Amino acid sequence: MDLGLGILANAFFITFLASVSFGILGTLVVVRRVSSAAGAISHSVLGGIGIGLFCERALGIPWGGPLPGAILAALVSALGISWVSLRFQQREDTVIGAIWAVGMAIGLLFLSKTPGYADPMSYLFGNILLVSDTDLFLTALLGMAVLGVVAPFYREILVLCFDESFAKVRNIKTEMLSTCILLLVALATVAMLRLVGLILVIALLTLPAAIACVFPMKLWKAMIFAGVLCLLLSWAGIIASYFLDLPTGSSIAVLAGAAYLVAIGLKARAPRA
Amino acid sequence: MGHEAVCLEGVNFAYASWPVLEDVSLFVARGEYVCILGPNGGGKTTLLKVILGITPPQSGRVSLLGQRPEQARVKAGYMPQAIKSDLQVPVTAKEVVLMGRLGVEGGWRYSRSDLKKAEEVLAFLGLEPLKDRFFAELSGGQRQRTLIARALACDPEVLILDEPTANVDPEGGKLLAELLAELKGKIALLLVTHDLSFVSKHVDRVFCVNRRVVEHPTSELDSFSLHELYNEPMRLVRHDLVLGNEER
Repeated sequence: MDLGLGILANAFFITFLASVSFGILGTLVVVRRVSSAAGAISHSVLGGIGIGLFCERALGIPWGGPLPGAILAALVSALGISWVSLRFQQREDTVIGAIWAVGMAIGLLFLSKTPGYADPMSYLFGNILLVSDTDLFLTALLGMAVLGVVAPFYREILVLCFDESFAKVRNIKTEMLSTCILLLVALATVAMLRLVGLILVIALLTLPAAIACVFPMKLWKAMIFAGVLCLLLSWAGIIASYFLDLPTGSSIAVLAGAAYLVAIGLKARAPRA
Repeated sequence: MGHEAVCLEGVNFAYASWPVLEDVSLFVARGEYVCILGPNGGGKTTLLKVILGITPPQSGRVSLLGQRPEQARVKAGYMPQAIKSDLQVPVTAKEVVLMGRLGVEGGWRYSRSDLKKAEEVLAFLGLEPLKDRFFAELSGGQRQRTLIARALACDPEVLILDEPTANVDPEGGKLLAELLAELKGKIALLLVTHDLSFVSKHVDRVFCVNRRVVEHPTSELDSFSLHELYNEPMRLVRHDLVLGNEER
């Protein structure tokens, strides 16, 4: 059985794999201003975790469990938000708030009725001890899916972000493309759930990208820059938490927030070209 | 193929239960230069979106270049209002112009001819020195020109411009008028504006949109019809005199 180092190695490895999707998706989330949608999705994941655990332990359903529940809840919320924003745009904000809160509430209700010990804290704020080989495998798979969608459709995604009605005139399937992006974002929040937790995952998704977007660079460069930042910040957070005996997810989130402030400060001080 | 560029018959469009366009019929032939005037909120932009199939109407028939808008719109050059584009997205002027080439050829990347066309249009509009600047860094007039370049990049058969003179200095407006005069006769031009000085001698017909669409011969466009359109007394200002235009 691995001790200490094995767990750390897993943590380093999963952030390495996740940085690919987080750099790309985070940049799209920031540029498309859908941070609150991403936040609602990641929080509603608790609902899926609760239902999944309840199915597994109380009902004895073999395919239950927190991970399938989390994935399902993330996808359902993403589809719901996507549908509302396409059909009833004025209600989007309200629905995002509702999914955010109701998703969490459902999770806590089911957890309270789940026999045995189920600690919501480790899902909310992450637990470095829980990162498993399954998580690594799924995160790698997600990275490939993200690259598989974004690389071939980069030009279409760029138009979609910049000017949606023009994208429609160029016959780009804007609704499908934006739904696809949101579904990938949903899966990404699940991928890093174990390490940083569903409340803090939004920080790791959006802050590196927000830092990249402070400086003028093309979108693909911002994606790479955000990915590298995501990797460096999470590694720094893991190391700090190891030596200072702090929770990993919170260390990463606080570091990312500090880095964002520094970036804004640098930008404000820089003379305008 | 027929000579129609845009044809609407009995089109009705409403947001929820709020009617925006009522029983609109209009016909624009290929090569015609048409201005669409009207007050804010009168439905001008919606009319363009209906023509391009972005917002399908509840009833009525729409055709673009003799086909359904969805089939023909890749052959339309479209310039939405500049304020609708997102300045937070880091795109260079050249990347914006290249967007106009999407759907012209297949493939995953821009082809050599796509890049060549983009360079051509950039040069045509005097944007060559600015092509690597970010869109957000450009001035209002430069942004407008970039969006016009993007609309021209697909070698359009119809050019549809939404408020191309907003945020443009008089000099830029004059350049645009010259450009449109040059394109007139080659492709159909539909131009939405509330800038009356733009209704120049080159414009064939003027449509006034205020829920309904009424056609005015250009000669008839005097303070009387303006009153009718905007529902308040208005006075015509001869911008051309102020600007020293050659229009007399």
